[in-house]
Amino acid sequence: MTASAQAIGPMETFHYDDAIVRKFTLATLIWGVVGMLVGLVIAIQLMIPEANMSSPYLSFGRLRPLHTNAVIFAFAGNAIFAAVYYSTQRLCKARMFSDMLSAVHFWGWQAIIVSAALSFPLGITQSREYAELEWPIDIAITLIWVVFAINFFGTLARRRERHLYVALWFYIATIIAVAVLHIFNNLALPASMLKSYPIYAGVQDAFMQWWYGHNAVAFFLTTPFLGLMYYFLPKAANRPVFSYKLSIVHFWSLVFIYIWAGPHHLHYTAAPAWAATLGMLFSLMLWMPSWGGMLNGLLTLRGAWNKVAQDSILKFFVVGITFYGMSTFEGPMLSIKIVNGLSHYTDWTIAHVHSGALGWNGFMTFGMIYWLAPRIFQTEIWSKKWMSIHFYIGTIGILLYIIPIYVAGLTQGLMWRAFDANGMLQYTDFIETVQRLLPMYWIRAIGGTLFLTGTVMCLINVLMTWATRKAPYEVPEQQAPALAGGYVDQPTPGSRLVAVTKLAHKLDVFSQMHWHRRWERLPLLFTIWVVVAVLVASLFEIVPTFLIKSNVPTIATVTPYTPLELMGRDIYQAEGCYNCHSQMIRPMRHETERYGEYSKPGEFVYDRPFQWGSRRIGPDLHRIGQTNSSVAWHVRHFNRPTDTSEGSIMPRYPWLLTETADFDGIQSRIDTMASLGVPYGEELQRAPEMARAQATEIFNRLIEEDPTYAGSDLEDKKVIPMIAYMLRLGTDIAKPLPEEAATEEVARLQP
Amino acid sequence: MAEEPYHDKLFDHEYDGIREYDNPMPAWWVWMFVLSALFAFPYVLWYHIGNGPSILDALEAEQAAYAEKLLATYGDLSVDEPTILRMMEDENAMLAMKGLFKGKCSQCHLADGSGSVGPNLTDDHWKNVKGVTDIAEVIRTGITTKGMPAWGDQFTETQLVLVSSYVAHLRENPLPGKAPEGDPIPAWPAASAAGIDENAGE
Ligand code: HEC
Repeated sequence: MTASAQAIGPMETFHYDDAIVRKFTLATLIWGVVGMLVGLVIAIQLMIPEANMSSPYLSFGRLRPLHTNAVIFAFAGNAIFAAVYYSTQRLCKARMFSDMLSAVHFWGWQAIIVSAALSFPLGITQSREYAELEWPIDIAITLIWVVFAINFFGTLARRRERHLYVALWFYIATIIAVAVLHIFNNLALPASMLKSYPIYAGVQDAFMQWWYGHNAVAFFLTTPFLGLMYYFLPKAANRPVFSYKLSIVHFWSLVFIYIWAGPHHLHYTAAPAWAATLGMLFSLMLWMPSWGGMLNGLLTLRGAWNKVAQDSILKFFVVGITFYGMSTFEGPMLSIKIVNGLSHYTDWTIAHVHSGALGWNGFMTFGMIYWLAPRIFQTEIWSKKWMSIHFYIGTIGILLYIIPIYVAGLTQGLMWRAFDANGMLQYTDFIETVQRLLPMYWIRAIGGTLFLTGTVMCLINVLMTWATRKAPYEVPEQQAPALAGGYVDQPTPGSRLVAVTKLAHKLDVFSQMHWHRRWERLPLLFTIWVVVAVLVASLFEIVPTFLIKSNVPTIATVTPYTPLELMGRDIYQAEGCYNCHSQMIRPMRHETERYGEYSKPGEFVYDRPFQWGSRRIGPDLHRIGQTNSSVAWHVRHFNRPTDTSEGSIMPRYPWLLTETADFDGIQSRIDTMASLGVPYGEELQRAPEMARAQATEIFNRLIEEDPTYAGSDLEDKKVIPMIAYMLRLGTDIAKPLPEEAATEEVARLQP
Repeated sequence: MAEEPYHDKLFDHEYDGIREYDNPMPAWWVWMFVLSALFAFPYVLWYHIGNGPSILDALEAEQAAYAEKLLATYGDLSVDEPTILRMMEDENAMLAMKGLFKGKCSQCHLADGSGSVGPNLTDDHWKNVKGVTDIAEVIRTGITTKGMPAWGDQFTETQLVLVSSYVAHLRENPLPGKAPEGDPIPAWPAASAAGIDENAGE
């Protein structure tokens, strides 16, 4: 190689910043314990609903988002940052761009986590899964993410290594895609400091949310962890990566294809059929790109399996990668419509998620941390034995978690759809299908406890390692030559073929992927291609969803929520009801028999946000207004569900009967909805009075149904708007047609 | 995988000590990828361009099959007193309705009909009912201001008869349950007294 091909500048001296890695590592484990503990608490509540002590702050619907957000953004998030900060510096032979930005990133992220931990128990939520945080926190996330991006790309700009290693490609994809997803999914109009309404409604909102939800899995739980794998696995195994070519092909196919797959979360729903098909087909296509990562991981260990047998760190990696392979096979399978018809809304989804989260994200994180600990604390790991016990206890924990939950999912899915010889539902009582799962839930809780125990052992091990650290830390001096201009790429290889067409020669040269080598030394160009891959796929799906009118055929009798119903709807979201109840009756006879007419896209045009849900721990509620119109029943049920429904595992909501509803606050919410295009009239002037009038009406109905409520003080309590919403749900399509004017009004609203 | 041509040639580059092999992609991997992409074409051709059944088609077929089954079993029932009284004697029909009542009505009337939020349907006291056709009417239109939902949109006429018969037949086994509401009414007329042609509808 000639000197100009190297284009080397003067030798430079620098130091790596490992203090920031230490911080992120400790934060990972501390939040990991918190997030998993909350998971265990809500798992126990499913079996013993009274375990929430009837406290609003410990209620399942409020804690479930805390669990998911904590494990995704706090546990996995901090792990990602630890990985990025440690490996990027080494792969670029450069210190992070700015220590100040590193600190802002770390403390800003922890502050966001704390604000999440406070706001969810308080019922402050957008009720969009894994994007529940309200708008001020969303803005903070955006800012911190920009800080992270500047710090990362700044480091790339100052690198002393000409080409970007594959781990860095995955980090680039992560940073770009998460930014795009977070911003576009969270576009909302604030109604107050702590409440906003999304700019999307109904079908479109569902579409955006699952474009986000699915790709959060892709770009927060997959690509950064692949990056992590590509750095820490070859380091720990001391083996070269199996195939550079495979890295290239699976990287680009993954980044491009993942984005399309989101609508597989919306099979059999009111989302357009073409979108569901796209989601399914691209999910199937995603199987091999995902397995490319698994193969490159496992095959890197060829010839090192004897090491794996002795080294707990490699064991964590092997099991983690194996779970990655399993879940990325299962994912495409679940995206097949008929399979999804059985699995959706059941625990199958929960099992799928946890094989990925505990197996892949959890074990890759633990493997990384055990590898990092002696290096960042510059001492031996405190206990190798604990590390090994953690591995076994964690593995058994995962199996005890997922196996019973797979069984639970399959059991309930089959029970829901079972017909008897008369062609009638065999299990008409929903609670029957829940009670059947409780033994499985107990085993799951044991599995979860074991996994959590392992995490606590890891935390203790790391803390003890930290306690025996050298003080002060050594900061070894690094040396590398700066990059200089005038770099000449290696010559493009010729075609290896003989006697074929020109095109074939060109293809052969292309397939040798020399062009990619050039991209790898041009981070800007590389990033632009990532942006293109992410955006093209997004636009192909999102634009038609918004522009094709026939996606959401208008229903003339569907009208906006009254102020009181909107208040109720907001309480429904604040309590997190969507965590256990869907509002989407699928067009399958067992669903229409159980719940009523299947849900139509036009019914959701005023739903901001949509509340279709993803798991039915309780029954679907879309037609509850048709099938249960008793105010007295709802009051008794909210107060203590078992009073009306024997064997119910729904939590109690006694505070709905004692807390006063905020009637005056509804005006700004109505106004915000109007700004978003909801055709309100009189409501714009006197929403609170209208809400009060309807509250009185409902209260009177309560007394008429059950005179013992006369003289109670329920009239202005939260339970009244909540019931107003319940009574309204799903009733619009059965209403008689109003006069022409209303039809035009609704038509005008359609984009 | 032993037959794969992995010559394990190392590239000359190296990142923080990490090296990479110039190995080809596993051939089965490439083929599976290609096939999984090609699968899209026949699928779209059949289900979206051709006349493969849509999800709604499938639902309609399921519903039609059930309607046929109902017709075959019970004939085309019409909501009138003789029919409702007659179906009360059809033990199979009553058994079949038990599950439906449990699913849709038990939240308010309890699975055995003894009443909770809704009245006890097993006693002789009724609020809105004098004869069996009133039962069908209450079920069809509901008494929505008092909490009883309207089921008219959810049931076919035949189903409405069967549900009404089921409710009427609950009286044959009075349960303590919720205290009586409304006024006592006489026993339902005997099926034969209502002038039933035992063969009607068969
Ligand atoms: C949401 C609660 C609720 C559900 C569900 C419900 N009911 Fe009722 N039902 C009531 C209430 C409350 C009344 C009493 C109405 C009144 O006070 O006049 C009632 C009354 C009735 C009556 C009249 C009783 C009388 O004394 O006049 C019949 C018959 C009846 N229900 C049948 C059914 C059937 C059949 C179903 C299921 C398909 C059903 N109900 C589901 C609440 C319910």
